[in-house]
Amino acid sequence: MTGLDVVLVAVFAAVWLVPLGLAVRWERRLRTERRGLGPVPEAAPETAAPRMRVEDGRADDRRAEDQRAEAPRR
Amino acid sequence: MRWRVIGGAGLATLLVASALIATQASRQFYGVDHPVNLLFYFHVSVAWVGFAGLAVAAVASAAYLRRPLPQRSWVAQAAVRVSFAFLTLTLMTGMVWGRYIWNSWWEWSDIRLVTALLVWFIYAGYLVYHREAKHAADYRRGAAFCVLAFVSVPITVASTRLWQSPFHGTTMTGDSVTIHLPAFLLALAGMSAVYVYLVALRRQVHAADQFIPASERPRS
Amino acid sequence: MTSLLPARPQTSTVPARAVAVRLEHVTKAYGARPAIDDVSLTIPTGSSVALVGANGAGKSTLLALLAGLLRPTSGRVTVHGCALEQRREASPRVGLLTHQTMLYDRLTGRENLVLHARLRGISLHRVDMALEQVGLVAAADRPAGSYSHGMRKRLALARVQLHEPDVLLLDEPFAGLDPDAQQRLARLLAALRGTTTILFTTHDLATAAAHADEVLQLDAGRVSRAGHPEDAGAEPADPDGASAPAAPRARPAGMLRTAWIVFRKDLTVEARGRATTSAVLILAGLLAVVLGMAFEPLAGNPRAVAGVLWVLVVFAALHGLTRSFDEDAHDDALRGVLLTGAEPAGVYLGRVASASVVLLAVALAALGAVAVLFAVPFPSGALPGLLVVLALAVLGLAAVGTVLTVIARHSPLGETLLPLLLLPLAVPVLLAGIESVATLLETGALDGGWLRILAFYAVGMLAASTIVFEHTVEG
Repeated sequence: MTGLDVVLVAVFAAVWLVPLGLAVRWERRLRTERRGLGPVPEAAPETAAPRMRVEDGRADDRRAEDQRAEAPRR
Repeated sequence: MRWRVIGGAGLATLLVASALIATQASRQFYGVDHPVNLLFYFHVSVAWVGFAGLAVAAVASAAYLRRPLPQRSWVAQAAVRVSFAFLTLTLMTGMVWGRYIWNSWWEWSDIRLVTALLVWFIYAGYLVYHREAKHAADYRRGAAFCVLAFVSVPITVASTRLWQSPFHGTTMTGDSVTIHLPAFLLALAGMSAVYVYLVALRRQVHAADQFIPASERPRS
Repeated sequence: MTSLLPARPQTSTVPARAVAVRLEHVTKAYGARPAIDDVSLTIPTGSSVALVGANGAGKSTLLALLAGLLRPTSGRVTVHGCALEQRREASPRVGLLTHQTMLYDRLTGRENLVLHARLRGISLHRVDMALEQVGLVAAADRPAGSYSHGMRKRLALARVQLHEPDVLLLDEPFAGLDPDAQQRLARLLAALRGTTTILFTTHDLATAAAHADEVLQLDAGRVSRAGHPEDAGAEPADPDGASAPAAPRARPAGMLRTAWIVFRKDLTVEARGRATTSAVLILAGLLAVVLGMAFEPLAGNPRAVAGVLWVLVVFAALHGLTRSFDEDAHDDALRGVLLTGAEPAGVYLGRVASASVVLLAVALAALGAVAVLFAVPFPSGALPGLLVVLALAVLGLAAVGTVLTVIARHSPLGETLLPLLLLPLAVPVLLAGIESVATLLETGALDGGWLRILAFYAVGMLAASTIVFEHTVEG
């Protein structure tokens, strides 16, 4: 097997691995970010307050001291 | 959930397509008999789906400028990101194919390769810009760039065509190319399904990101 | 919900005053942090309100929201019944003084005001009156860049009340003024009191007490304490705008007129300093010399010479566009122009026109330098064709470059980003420019195919950018 054959195999593999890699990476990230958040509401980027922070898989209530965070927003 | 079903179905379709390609498809293109020719099925389907996704991104960006619903921006960003990966694959497969068939990694006279690289650079700029985007106004500027980029793509294609007449005939219809149509259509369908799944997934990542402070989000 | 004025029975005998400013559940967040947090309030016409609060309490953000400079993340802002989501609707009614004076340094005090008067479509007589009011008549014909801090602030004050707004929004108006200027400002505010609704921010409670009917305290984006109204009967019971001033208002300049005004302003600024032209000319000359030394064997080869010429033009465009936006970005002057309610598309077209003129001059100089340094024989009759090619290419570059400069400027990556965005998009111009100049040098004839590419590019980019430009200039 020559060097070029290795390249050939690598390229065939890449066609599979690049989409798969993206899928695995983003599925994992989605799972981490959603942990502790519950279902993610479809909020506008600027309206969404960071109620939760995910750190080492543990969610802590960042604005627990702030009662206003619980007030419904429009 | 349904997006994952589509993604899984796409993957299965791609597997069936690969089996067909490996067993049925001719390895003879342009008078050269070589397994690298089988890359064609992936190269063309990845390229078509990737470019089609850029059109989706442009439409979503224009819609976002009309009415700034964040979902529209997420779709545009997700589509560009996945299309960028697909364009990278297109370039890679094209270059490797060229190395075997033309004995050179890069041919300026192959306008498809040159055009794909230019479009790759255009959207690389878009992605670099979005790394630093934080506010709604930043996303509006990004959407404006996406619209301008899409206006420039046909002119870029036209100008590269005028610059170099095609080195090899159109990929699909030359006499010297016999493609296995069912295998190609399956590969195209599978790739499209995988694309749709990846964009939907990335869009959900953007939605979940809204609850993570910008400084703590992963970079990609 | 915080109301400035407590709810009162509608049976009040005092005539109701129209609502000048109404905020309904307004929230403005930067990223995830709310700068203004669910504020609702109404301010009756003709009242004078002081906003006090610590740094970062949201005072400036509140004023920017009222001016239509920022879009609320949620909620509704109305001024005399006009929704402020669109800046243009707010502009004739609102005057905003921010920490930036929004002046062009290279224009004189008078020229700055004339620019704004023209864009707003108001009589130039107002300029002299406004200069008189702020005591700047003697200094009116000096460049604003030579003014002291206090004078700049006074000129900015003249600018914000040039169009006699119904609502005057002043961010720290007294800060940085000498006692004389403070007295002038106090007199001005006193004269406007009762007819113009005034909102101003201050750290100083004494200033607030002296000039305001009401004092609002802002704390972490919320109105935490409403002042006690002296005028207890002033419950705003009117529907918005029902008794708003009905005087005919000047209409801001339309798109083409705005383009013309901005074009002239840009060229005046450029003629004063020649900053862009000289910097870009020197850059182009340097590049010609460097490329000439690097590619000396290419001398006399028309294709190589065409290539060198276009590298010069593209780099000159990158540099020149960045440089010319410095004038606009400095002191937020461009935002001041947009606050007049001028069509953003007109501002864009004016900028493209002035950038094209400057770039064309540079491209012609580069052509001369390249012709001399690379010893190319010019076929007779090639010059008109060269001019057409250069003009079309420069127009295309300016069209896309103007928008991309604004996009790059707002990114933390800044100027680093501009070549990344502009160069790939400018490939058609580069290819068409090189090919048509090479053909011209070789045969003396124009290539129709490349000319069409240049024309399509210029028209397509102008059209698309005219539409998207307004989305790129928001803060």
